[in-house]
Amino acid sequence: MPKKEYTCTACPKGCTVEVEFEDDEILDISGYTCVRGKEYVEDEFHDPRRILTTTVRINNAKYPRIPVRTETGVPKDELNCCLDALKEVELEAPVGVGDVVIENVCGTDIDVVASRSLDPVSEKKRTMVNQ
Amino acid sequence: MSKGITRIKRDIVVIGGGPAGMAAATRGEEEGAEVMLIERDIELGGILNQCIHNGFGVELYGEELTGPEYAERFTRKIESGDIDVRLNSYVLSLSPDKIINLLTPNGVFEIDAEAVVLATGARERSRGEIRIPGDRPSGVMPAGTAQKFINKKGFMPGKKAFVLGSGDIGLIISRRLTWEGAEVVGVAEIMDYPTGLNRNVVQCLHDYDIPLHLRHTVTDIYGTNRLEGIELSQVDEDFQPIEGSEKDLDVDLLLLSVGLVPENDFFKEAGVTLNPKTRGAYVDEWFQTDVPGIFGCGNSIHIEDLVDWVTMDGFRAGDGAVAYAGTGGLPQADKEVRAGENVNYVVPHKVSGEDEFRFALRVTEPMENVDISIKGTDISSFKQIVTPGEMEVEEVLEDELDELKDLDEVEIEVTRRF
Repeated sequence: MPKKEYTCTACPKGCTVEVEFEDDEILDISGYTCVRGKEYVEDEFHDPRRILTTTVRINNAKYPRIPVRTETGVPKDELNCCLDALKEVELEAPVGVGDVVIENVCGTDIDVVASRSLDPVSEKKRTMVNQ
Repeated sequence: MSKGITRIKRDIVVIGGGPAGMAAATRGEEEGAEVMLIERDIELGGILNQCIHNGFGVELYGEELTGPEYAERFTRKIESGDIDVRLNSYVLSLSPDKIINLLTPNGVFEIDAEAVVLATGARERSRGEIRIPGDRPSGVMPAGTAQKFINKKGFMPGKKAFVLGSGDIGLIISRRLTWEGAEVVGVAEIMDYPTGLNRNVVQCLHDYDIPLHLRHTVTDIYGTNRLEGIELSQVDEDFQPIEGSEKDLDVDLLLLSVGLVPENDFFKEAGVTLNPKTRGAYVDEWFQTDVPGIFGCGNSIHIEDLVDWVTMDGFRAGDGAVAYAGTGGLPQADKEVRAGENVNYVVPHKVSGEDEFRFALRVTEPMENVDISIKGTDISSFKQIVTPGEMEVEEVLEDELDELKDLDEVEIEVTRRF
């Protein structure tokens, strides 16, 4: 029977939890020491998600990059698709925190939003900052 | 053309516009004080602006914000208020009687402050501090510097990286490099446990199959102009490299995530006594140092894990500064707070015993099922698990203060239950 090992992240203890499974069904979970550990591993097995935080290009701002995030966790397997999609993005200042950068990224139903505001600045000021 | 020096007075001057300083300044303003906030960078927010990952604000707001989002909550408030914010400004000197010489784009100022809050943050330990032998090529830098290059400037500092140190910064930068297309060959940690949060070990290393080498360190660096490789060695119980365990790795980037040191220069200049353990100032429950009217908060006092605690300490220091500037004094803090059994250090170092306070500590080693208690009292709190990598924060409430009355010193200890 196939087995998978997880390190629980619910607390600093970091229990090693073993899952026995067949296809996408859990047959047995062992090694967890509290209910949070069991829930964590069930979620990780069935639908592991991660919040993606990265940057995209921006023009006319004091920095050449602006940080962005997925609003909630996207499926772990879609992270690379999301990163590729974001590489194509180029924004123009002004951008406000929370502005949508990509809607429904990679068909996940989740939006990527800007995680800070950047105002437009003059070219002279941009040169100063990037020196 | 010399403009001369402009002399001004302020109730409170906060030096450093990161999370600690922003908290202290906003609190001062709320309480009606005339506050000046000094920042040497081009914007407020400090290190938060380059920490684009999420996980900030869970304790304070019950939300997982990114660093820039967390910063913006404060910068918006400050921009809409009356705080005298000085960006691009550099403090030249701070005297024990709280005279500050300040260089700004608008000239030089001499500021007479009633109270000063030092919120100067920390510096990353560098290659020199941990004494890695070898060549001195480019491509060796602190992890936070690489983070700034990538997240703010849009530069990639290398293609094939190794990270020394498993603190949170080292773990997070490993994932960040991976997401940006670099290969992270491995992470080394000299201790036998990772020093960063377990969640980060899983989500930044395990997720990308990046190996973590416990009880290993970097013992040589190769390369003439650009880094070409490193030597990785296992270490023994005394952290000495074991001969014969050396392994060469080809990398063009070595990132150091080997700890932070409080930026304590202004404390020294003002004659404040420093704690050799934390390398930050000795402070009381209001974060006042032993120089009256000079306060400190955030990483300039001790290296904290969570920005939430930094903010809360900033609020507290702001309250203290307001009380000091208004009335010229706070309750005398004459009870020494001592790190007892299994406690590496505790902050604050003195309390009055007259007001509620919070204390933060780090334990000496990972332990399970422990009580964090104040010796000789019933004040105690049970923890399933404690590790040196995670700061413990406890509160002593108003109705518990009676128990401290007869104590000359407050000894905090962590004891195993069974």
